Amino acid sequence: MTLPGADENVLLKVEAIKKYFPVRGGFFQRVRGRIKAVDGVDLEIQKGKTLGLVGESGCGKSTVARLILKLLEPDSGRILYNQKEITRLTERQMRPIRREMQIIFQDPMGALNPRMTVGSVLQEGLMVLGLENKKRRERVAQLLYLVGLPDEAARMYPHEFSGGQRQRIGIARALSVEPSLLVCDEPISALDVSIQAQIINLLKELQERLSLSYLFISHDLNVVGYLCDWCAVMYLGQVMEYGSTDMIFERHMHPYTKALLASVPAREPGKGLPIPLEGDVPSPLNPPPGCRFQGRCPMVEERCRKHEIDLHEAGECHLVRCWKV
Amino acid sequence: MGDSNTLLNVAGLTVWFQADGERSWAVNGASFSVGRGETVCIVGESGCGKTVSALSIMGLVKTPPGRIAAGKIMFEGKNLLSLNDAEMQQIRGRRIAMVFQEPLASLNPVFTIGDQISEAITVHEKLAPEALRARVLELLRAVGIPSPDERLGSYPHQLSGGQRQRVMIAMALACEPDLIIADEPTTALDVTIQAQILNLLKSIKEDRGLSLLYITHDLGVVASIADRVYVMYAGCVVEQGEVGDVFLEPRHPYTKGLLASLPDRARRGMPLTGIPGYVPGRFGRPVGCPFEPRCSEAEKECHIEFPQFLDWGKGHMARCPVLYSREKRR
Ligand SMILES: Nc1ncnc2c1ncn2[C@@H]1O[C@H](COP(=O)(O)OP(=O)(O)OP(=O)(O)O)[C@@H](O)[C@H]1O
Ligand SMILES: Nc1ncnc2c1ncn2[C@@H]1O[C@H](COP(=O)(O)OP(=O)(O)OP(=O)(O)O)[C@@H](O)[C@H]1O
Ligand SMILES: [Mg+2]
Ligand SMILES: [Mg+2]
Repeated sequence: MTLPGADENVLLKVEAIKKYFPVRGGFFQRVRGRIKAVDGVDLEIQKGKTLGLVGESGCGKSTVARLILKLLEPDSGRILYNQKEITRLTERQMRPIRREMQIIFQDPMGALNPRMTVGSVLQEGLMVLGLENKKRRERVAQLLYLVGLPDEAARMYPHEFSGGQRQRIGIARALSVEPSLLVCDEPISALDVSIQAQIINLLKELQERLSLSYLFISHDLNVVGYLCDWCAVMYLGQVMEYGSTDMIFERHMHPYTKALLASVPAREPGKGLPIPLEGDVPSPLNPPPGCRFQGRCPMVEERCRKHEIDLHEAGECHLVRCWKV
Repeated sequence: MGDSNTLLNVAGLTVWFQADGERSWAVNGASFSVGRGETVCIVGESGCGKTVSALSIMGLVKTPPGRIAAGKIMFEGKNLLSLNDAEMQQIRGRRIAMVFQEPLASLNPVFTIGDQISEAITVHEKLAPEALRARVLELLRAVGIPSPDERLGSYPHQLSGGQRQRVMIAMALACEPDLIIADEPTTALDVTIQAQILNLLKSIKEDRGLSLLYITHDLGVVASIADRVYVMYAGCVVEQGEVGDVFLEPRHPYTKGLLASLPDRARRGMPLTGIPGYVPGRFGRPVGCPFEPRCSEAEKECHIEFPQFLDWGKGHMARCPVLYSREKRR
């Protein structure tokens, strides 16, 4: 797959990765089927840019994130970081690279040790960097300042903070090891609207200051439209459409992208109700034959039901997985 | 809001909870109404008192720790707060039904959905078995459950999240209520499924001439379904009006801040204005405007004054000390 830009601008590249989860049950916990959580995904994250990953619940977004961070082993496919393949690196070989890729989650509380002060949470990362005691304390203060928390925060425990403040702690911790790539898995979904805006502003500001790259996972298309340079639309383990955010929002070609965007309620009154996409997402245990979207697609044809289809180029820097295109 | 057309009128509702020996004022003198056939939204951030307001109407606030300290809830001329349990039972489910955010928590996992909908019907109405079954099927069809005959015997966990929410709506419709209160019914669902549920609620509302009180924190949802909207902050209504007026000409600094917090593609490259500070976790009872600590337009008086609503016509009103004194000076 070829996407925009020269290779040296690409920080992370994912090629045809797959991850199937076995489903066990019955006698002897035999494998009864496989959940095709990620089924041949290609992605590219450019240096200093943000790639948005959108799609309905269960389409495999978090699994892609875990594969990229090598928290999961892919069944097949390749992951390249700075043009170097990291797919099969051992834990030890991986260590220096691991520091460069950090993740923040939807629920920062779940990821923070409740018995550690925020200061010690942040110091942990700094020890990995091998900083001496005094430098570490200085750096903690800097990090807190960077994410907009007061100095006292260092002496407090996670439960003493509000949800938005905890997310700031999560971001500070991720930044403590000076990563290049920040994977954000629904980082603002659990927050209030006014707090979401603060965190979005913070992420934007940090990106400019530290030239970070983001993989931004969200099902909020408005946020993705605001924040992301590139956008990949996933459905049942596959990327259906991929392109610049403007392309995806304005000149999308896949019926799924269209349906997804049409189902977002308009913020201007008087525009009426969003247009629903009928049906539910089929089970990833036995996805439909042919195109994954065929069962819900308003434009379905015979060939869509019979034959699988690959992502192919529909224009410059624009990939679509649809027979019609 | 013309009186004869008013179905529900909540006035000065005040609810507190006793926790750790302290009172937290969940709802602090909120007033709102729903007209016949109207869709009214209550919007506001987490903890501002939306659910407690709804539970108060349903008579479902647990006392203790909660207490409805003041206010009236007039429903068709009767104050629901003065009804006894048996009388309230007649209203709940039969006249007013509620749909919750998490359908899995409100459905019983060990009964089939057919049983549960039947139960919802028979609580208020005795029907022969065949008639009952026909009624259940009709309801499932009305909420768009595919092949309802086969679905009667399904258990909640065998349905998708969107289907479960449809079942909840079917149960709410079971006794043909006049008012449905939907508390964040789509927050846990995908946007595609949310769009289905919003369309379903709207068509049901129109077909049956119901009123809908819809609680959400999603301003997009409000813009797309509401006739009128109430904006709540820290237990108080701070702005209200027809949805077009409130969205296009917000008056209260909180409403303005909320609308300016929303990211979308049109705002790319510009920082979101947003609202500084945090939503208070639990609140005492401020004398002044509850939004004052975060308000960028606040003045000295806001700390001690929270005047009445100012009216801009067509029921578009906001409650803000700065706007109020500016108006008075004129
Ligand atoms: N460890 C696992 N074992 C078995 N199945 C799994 C595992 N992790 C994920 N899955 C399944 O893989 C599919 C993709 O899950 P994933 O969490 O990646 O989705 P997602 O797009 O992040 O969804 P959401 O928006 O709800 O977070 C789902 O069907 C999920 O149930
Ligand atoms: N059973 C309870 N005991 C103590 N406090 C309660 C109880 N129920 C609600 N509260 C408090 O009342 C306030 C209002 O809560 P409510 O659930 O109405 O908020 P909400 O607007 O529905 O928020 P959300 O958007 O998170 O659902 C909160 O501060 C909450 O902590
Ligand atoms: Mg996920
Ligand atoms: Mg609530």
